[in-house]
Amino acid sequence: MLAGDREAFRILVDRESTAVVRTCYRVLGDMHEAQDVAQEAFVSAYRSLASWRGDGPFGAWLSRIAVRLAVRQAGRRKAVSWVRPLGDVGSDPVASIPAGARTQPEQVALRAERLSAIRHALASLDEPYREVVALRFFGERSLEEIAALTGRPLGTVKTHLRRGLLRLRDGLEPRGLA
Amino acid sequence: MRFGPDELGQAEGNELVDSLETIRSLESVAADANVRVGTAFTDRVMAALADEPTPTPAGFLAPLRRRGLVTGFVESLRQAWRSMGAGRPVFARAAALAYVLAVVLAGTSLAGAATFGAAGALGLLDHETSAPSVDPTHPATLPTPRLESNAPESAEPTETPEPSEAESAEPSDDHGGGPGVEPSDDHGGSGPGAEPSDDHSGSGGGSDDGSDASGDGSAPSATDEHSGSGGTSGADD
Repeated sequence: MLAGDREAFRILVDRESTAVVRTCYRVLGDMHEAQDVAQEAFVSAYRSLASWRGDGPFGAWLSRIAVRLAVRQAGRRKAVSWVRPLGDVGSDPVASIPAGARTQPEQVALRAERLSAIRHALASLDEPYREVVALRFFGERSLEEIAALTGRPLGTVKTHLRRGLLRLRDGLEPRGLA
Repeated sequence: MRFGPDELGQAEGNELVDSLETIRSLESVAADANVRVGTAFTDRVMAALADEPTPTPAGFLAPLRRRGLVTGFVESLRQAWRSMGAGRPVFARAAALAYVLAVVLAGTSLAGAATFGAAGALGLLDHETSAPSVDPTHPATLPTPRLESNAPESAEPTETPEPSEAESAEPSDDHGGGPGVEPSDDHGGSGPGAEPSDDHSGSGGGSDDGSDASGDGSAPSATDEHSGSGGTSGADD
């Protein structure tokens, strides 16, 4: 496959496509965009086969490419302004609503907005925090895999994750989401 | 993959609480993605790859390993040049650029050194470097202008060698060495001309004939040179 065998690469795309598209969707929140970015990630990976160091799972390497491209795509969007339609109902407007009412259309809309705000806050993080947080929670990679992928010590990755989460919380706080 | 609090390392207290709260938000985003893609997506990706060139399996250094340093060099350089084009990752392009630049620099240096060495072996560099380096930097130290400026003085002894009694009656100790000999006691240095002989020919060299050759002997003494070389030559005459 590393020699550019297309059939072998097709098997790989078959195996990894769901995970890659899911990762992109988590970052972007739009299925069409996620599939476009996932396709770009596969093409980019195919071009870069020679530069793959082989020091981790191939899927993790693909996830890193996908996260980078998806975050870049998210950064191109206009910033979404968060509106609190229910006024001052506490720190989390969705959580303040009874569970049984969450299937209501307004609750669906609220949830979608909340998720969108979290995505936007993540895309606004600085590197390397953004990459570590996105790979851990959206790419579903372990910290050991992230350390191997990025070439950083595990302790450094943990520090980046902790600081990234705190910065993400600071970014969500003004929107009343933290 | 569920998150464990131990993944946060040294977080504790409020920091840990805030981090866990943010993690819950992120996990709610992750749980939202119920994605399934089929073979249609795979076909789409493979169609996009149809126009892509086959990636090189081991980079631009592979020909060096396969064919050896000499025969694989040109192919390696060609692959590195191709790798610098668009569509490659930044790291690969930067590495290829660095490789090409290193080869160009090494080639230029070697060619320059070889040219310099060849020019030196042919003697081209000696001819070019010696003449211009002396003239502009030390124009005053050149011996030739100095000798020319003394030429009128050196010509004077041609008048003095006449052994007239009037000149010899002068209160000076001049024994005919010309005007250049006046302030000094130098009478021709170590040459025989310096001996207090009766020779009043005016030449430092002490020649017997008192001819034109005496002028040559007095010239060095006129310039306060005490080497006596002129005297020596005059003695040989």
